[in-house]
Amino acid sequence: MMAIKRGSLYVVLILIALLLFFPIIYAFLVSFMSTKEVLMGHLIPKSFSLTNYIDAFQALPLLHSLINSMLVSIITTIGQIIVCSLAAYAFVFIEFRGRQFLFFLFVSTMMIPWEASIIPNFVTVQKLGWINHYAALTIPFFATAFGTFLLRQHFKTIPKELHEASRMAGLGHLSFFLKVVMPVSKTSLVTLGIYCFLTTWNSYLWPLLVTTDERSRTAQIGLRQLHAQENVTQWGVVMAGVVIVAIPTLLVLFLGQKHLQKGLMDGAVK
Amino acid sequence: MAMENPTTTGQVPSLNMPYRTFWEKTRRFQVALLFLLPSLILFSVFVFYPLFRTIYLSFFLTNQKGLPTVFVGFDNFIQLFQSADFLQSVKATFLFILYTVPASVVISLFLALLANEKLKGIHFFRTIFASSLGVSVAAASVTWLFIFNPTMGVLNRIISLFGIQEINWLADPHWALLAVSMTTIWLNLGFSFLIIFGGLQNIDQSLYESSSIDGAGYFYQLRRITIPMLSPTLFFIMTVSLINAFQTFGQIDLLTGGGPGQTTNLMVYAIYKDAFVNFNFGKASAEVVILFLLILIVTLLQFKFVEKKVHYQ
Amino acid sequence: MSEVELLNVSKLYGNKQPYIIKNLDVNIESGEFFVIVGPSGCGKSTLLRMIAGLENISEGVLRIGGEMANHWSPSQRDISMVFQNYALYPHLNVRENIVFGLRVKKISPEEREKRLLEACEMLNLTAYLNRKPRELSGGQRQRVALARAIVSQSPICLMDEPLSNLDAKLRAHMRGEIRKIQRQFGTTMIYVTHDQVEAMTMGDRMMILNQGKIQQIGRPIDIYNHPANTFVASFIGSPQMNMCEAYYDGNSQEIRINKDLKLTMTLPKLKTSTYIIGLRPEYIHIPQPNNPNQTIVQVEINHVELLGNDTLFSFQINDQQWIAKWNGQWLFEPGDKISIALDADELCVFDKDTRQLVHSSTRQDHDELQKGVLA
Ligand SMILES: Nc1ncnc2c1ncn2[C@@H]1O[C@H](COP(=O)(O)OP(=O)(O)OP(=O)(O)O)[C@@H](O)[C@H]1O
Ligand SMILES: [Mg+2]
Repeated sequence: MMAIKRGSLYVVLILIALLLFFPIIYAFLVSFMSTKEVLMGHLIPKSFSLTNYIDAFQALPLLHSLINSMLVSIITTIGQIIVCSLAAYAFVFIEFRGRQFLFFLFVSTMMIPWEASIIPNFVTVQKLGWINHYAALTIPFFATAFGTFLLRQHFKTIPKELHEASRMAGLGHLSFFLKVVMPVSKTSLVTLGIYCFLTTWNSYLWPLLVTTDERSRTAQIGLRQLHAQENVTQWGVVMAGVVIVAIPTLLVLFLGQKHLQKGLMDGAVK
Repeated sequence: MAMENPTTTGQVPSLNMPYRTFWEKTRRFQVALLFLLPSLILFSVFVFYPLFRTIYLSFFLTNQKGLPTVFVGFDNFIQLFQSADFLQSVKATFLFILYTVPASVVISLFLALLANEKLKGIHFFRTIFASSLGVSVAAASVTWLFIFNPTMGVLNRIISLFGIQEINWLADPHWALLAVSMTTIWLNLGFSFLIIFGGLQNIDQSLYESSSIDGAGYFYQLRRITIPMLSPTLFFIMTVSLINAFQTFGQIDLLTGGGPGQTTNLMVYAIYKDAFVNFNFGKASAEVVILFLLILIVTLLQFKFVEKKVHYQ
Repeated sequence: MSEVELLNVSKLYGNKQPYIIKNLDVNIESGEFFVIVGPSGCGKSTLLRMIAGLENISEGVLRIGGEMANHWSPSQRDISMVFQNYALYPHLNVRENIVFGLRVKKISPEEREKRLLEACEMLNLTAYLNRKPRELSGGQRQRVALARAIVSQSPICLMDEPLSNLDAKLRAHMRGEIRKIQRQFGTTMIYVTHDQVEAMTMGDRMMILNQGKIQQIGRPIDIYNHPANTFVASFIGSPQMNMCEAYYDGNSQEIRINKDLKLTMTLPKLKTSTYIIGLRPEYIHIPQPNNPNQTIVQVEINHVELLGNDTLFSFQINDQQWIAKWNGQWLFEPGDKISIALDADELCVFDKDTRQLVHSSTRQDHDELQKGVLA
């Protein structure tokens, strides 16, 4: 009875896993096919040749856009961790007048979708001369209500006696923040970091708007161009591009899933 | 009393803070402000200012540079509500929400329940279930574009095995929105799964143990323990999915470009075209204001009607 | 010289009533071990945190070493504190935890090392220096917290129920350790506790607090013998002091507890009226032949607890449950009727309205006399 149940569970799990993972496998398989194979609708490529990958890198400055994406994601992640943890610190460890109000103000920004502010933001970024600069792709995302909220939830679990003991030892706010709060909160900083990296790497609309030349494009926009260029004929090359663009985030996700799962939950519901 | 007061109140300085200036009194506020300053500046520039600016622009005609020229009051809005295109985009957006949100939540709940079983190698399956979170909108859309390809794509090959004739998924007005929805659901699953699964793992195991002792079966536990305990998580993920659905852009841009015949012209895509292709910032701003209000109303309604059924511990 | 001096100190949280601490006056001497006890929520922690500078003082003056210290920052006060939950930094190991404050104060590495080793030697921590707090047992964590206070060599040390998380045996051991260290360094110790035994045995003086007000300050044994009011009488001592109303007739010099129980007593200062009398459980005696002081009364036992070395049994006096504590093992059953002996000299008498002590037992003076004879 137990064995039957377990066996059928495995069958269900495997079938669902195949179904869910299929698009990724499919992209991977097609990326090795020659144009002829693609046209014939094969599922498995005859040989795993890397021609499509070479073509993808030659068709566009794909490597450059990958580096752009990597730098933009890393800068945004670091910036967001710094800015959000500073804000979260103030909300948890400093009792000041207007704390409630400011926190409400922060949370209310969660209700304002980024898309709703995109038009003036585009103009602002234009005026600042940030078009085609990393600044446009990173700085606006340093402050997020989500990140502040997530870290605040975690900071609140730090016993207040730790703060008091530090005060008695003569630590000021900044050194308490740097020497105690940040090291103690490593897990949630990593959670926020992973989440931020994924979302920044994957963002699409904003990079599309604020980058116009080849050299400042991110990988997602590179993919869009690749698809536009090669549309009808070269599906293998396009899929090679898909695989290249997806690998870094898939890796980050696989390595950081445990963190993400635990940390996001804490921030979301508690 | 055994103790006598050695001092009378008069001798004790009653004012504790005799020489404190305003600067000293607001000291903690200043420190807090220092910590909050980066966030406050960024929020002001990139969230609050644009919100008010958008509302402002929505009352104007704008020139090619996006600057307001003529104040037109509610004209932009009136025109929008008389425009079939706009109404179509609102309709498409709601249909899209209907197709994607409930399906994403239900499927991810199912996945999370499966992944919560204690089996050997379950970690591997959890990773697979979460994998779409690691795939960008662009990569996913391009992949699905090929899956939907009428001649080469795998989907038509599969249905032809069953003797169904080829469907032109993305060019057929009947199917295009569904095809986009399918892609979106797949994209959503990773994140929703991760959140719901995290919620499941947070449920105190002793609840299950004690109800097992009472002889409760799997489905009884599911109905009486799991779902109620999970309801805050489900509520959260529903809200997030809903807001995300309102903001869909990448899939449309890559899969259909809003077509065929406007059937997949979701609001944000329409806004994008009005603002950055036609450079009509006034009209686009009015659309943004409506989008924002819709999100606000739907979220508030959800809080009002759904949150009541949520069991917070 | 008094080290810590509180003058008319009061505390309100957020300027909202009620007063958590009300008009508190106390001087704590240099090198003194000062214990604060009181029921939960009476403001003990609040008081300690005000002395530490972690809470601001709403009214009144705090002097440290003779200087007004209300606005000194916690670190300026040069006070060490051991928190109830230890407040160890989870990301630092034992060594780093102990010297954390010394680093901040920029004390030289050699001096740091010297103090660290000294403290660890004393507290048997040397073997754990490289462990993280989560890898330590409760008692070990407690000792790390203690070590952190010791190495700071602050003249004043505050402890907030530091032993409450430990088991009974470890607690007994740590009581001795803390007292020893305090004597060795001549530290002024202010020690908050819930625990009867800690309160009685550790302090040079103790202060009993209730609802933010001082009930009594004094040597623990004096407080035990002469509780200032009914609250102190029932709070200190376990099992607590038996009490009930009784009528004192000044003419016949008799205390009437009920119609069967009258004690002859000379209380020249008291007028005829109803009072509250109190009698410690150990002052309910086995009747002895030929003792003119004793008054014998029959009671019906309704509950018995055999503790091994002592026997507790309870019975009804008027509408009150009284408990008696007899040495040795007595195999009573509920329902047994026995004779007990009371001694009028051992009664405490409290005013019925103000609940203040008006006459205390004279018994302990006999004990001191005996001691004198033995010496
Ligand atoms: N931050 C605060 N704001 C408002 N009231 C508070 C605050 N901290 C404590 N109190 C109140 O002050 C009173 C005294 O609290 P305190 O912590 O000093 O009690 P305590 O004597 O230490 O009790 P325990 O023995 O349980 O530790 C309590 O009634 C408590 O509710
Ligand atoms: Mg306390």
